[in-house]
Amino acid sequence: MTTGAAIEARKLARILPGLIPVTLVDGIDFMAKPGELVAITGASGSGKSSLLYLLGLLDEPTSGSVIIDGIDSASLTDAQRTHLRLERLGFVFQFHFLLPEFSVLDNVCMPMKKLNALPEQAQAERGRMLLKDLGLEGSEKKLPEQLSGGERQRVAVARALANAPSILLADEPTGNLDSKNSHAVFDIFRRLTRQDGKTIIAVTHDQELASACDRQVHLADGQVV
Amino acid sequence: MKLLLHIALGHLLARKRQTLVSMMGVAMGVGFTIAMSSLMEGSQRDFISRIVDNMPHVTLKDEFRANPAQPVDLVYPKGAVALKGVKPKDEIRGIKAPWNKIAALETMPGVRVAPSLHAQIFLSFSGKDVAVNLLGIDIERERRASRIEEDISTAGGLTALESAANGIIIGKGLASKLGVQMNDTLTAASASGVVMKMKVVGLFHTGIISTDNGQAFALIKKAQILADRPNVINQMRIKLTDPMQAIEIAAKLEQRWGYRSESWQESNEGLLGAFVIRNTVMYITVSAILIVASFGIFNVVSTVVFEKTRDIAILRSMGFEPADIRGIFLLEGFLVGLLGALLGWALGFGLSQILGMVRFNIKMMTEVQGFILHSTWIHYTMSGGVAALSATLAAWLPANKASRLKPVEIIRGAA
Repeated sequence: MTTGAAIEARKLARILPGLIPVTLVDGIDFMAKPGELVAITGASGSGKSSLLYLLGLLDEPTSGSVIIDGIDSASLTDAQRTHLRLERLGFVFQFHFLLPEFSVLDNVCMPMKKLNALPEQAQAERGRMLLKDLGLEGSEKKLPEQLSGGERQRVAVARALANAPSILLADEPTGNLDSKNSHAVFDIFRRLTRQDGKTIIAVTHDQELASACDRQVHLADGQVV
Repeated sequence: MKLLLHIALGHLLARKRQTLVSMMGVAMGVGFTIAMSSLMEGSQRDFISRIVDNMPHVTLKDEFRANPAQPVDLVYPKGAVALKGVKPKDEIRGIKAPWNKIAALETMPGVRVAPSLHAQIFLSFSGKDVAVNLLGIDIERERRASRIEEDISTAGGLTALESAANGIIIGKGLASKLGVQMNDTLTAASASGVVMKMKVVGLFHTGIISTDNGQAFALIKKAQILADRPNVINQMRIKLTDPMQAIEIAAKLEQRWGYRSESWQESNEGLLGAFVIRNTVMYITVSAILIVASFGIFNVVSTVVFEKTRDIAILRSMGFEPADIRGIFLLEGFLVGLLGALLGWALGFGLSQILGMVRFNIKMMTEVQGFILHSTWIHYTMSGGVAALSATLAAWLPANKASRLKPVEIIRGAA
């Protein structure tokens, strides 16, 4: 059944097995449309990040399914899920997680090199273009350690956008940034949804930033409230 | 693959000192393996070539491997028979009908035969007595089947034996022991009691101490007289165009005539066996060096995996598969092994050159003036291949561990 959603979760649950099983996500139904900027909010331990990792196919649900661009991930093999992630999803984390040995441009081009859908020259051109769009022109050859925190996070956004994914998942992307840089990152997110039609789901604690999103989903004890 | 190589190189170059130390470990292992194996191979080849050049390839002797079976044993081969106090027939020793056998051997392609009579005699000069193994030879056939004439430094070579009534050619070591010089006359005495005055008509030097100090040559007729064994030949020394056929030909001759026929390999079985043991010990030692080097690589790759867990998580979240992660770290091990092997080749070549320049003078079984080295591409390929393989295997455990890391757990831990 087509719902027109870019990404959708149906009865999604994640329970950590053990002597006392821990429920991280408890039967959540969720959807985000193309071009929508959704904020997931909630207290610590409410299941925000767990839901994001399940949506991003980084973790496997105990039950339920995730549907990305109409493809039900439950029917896919591990390799197919990995490829779907490479092609259609981009991640931004609280820590930038840039590879410290490689230049800014190398970091941005890494997903493109892995997908190998563009010629090498075109990959570098797209990398430069993404960096320019995010205000990082001239930083291509720098190492991550030569950048400020805000710049590193923008490089991480550029890397997440490298393969032109339809969906961007951000886990506390401003958690380590000051107010100015936090707003700058969310401005970029807004631009990406408005201009490029990307779907962005961002976990955040910052109520001001969350209220600037198209929609907020509030979680408590692994459920949408 | 290009991308994985790019990442692997990035990791290694970011830890230049650690990488270099690991590479040096491999290089030392490979270098010493090459130097030691060329040293071992060189000395072994030199020794074998001396044996092959100077000794007969097959020696047919007037002996039998087993005592002749008694008639009662032949009649009752599986019977409960015990014989005591057997008095075997006292036959005249020597190869029967030798010239027919020589003629038959000379029709075989690639076979040259030198008949001889070996006799133990004493040579006396100026009050000194030395026990000597005298070889009575046929000059023409000896020339074809042995290299002794090349080692005779005096005029005339083997032909000098015909220049005097009782000519004898002795080793330089023996001449030195006895204190004799060319044209001196010494006294030869055999176990059968025959005493003969013999003139030194030639001196030889083979480099094999036992030969130079304890062997002499005379015409076969003179040796037969001295040993009191007229018309007897007790050895046929055979040279082959292909020395590696010696075992096969010796077996054929023994089967045909019954006389004990020893190949050069059988005659030197103990020494060749010692080479096998020596080479095994050497390869175990150098393998130990490579194993130690592998631990270094294991350590480096394990450290990189430990330090890079976050990077692994982000690569996995980007869409890298577990096999890609494993590939990156295996490549790191392989690269350290490969570059270490290349450095090791240079080190091994250098060490071989240095060892080749060392000079000394030692008299053991043969005279040695320096290390004889023989390197082949097999030494380089084997040591390099084993190094690269062991380095890759050493990287396998940490690489596999890296590929099994769960990105979510790492990202949660980092958050």
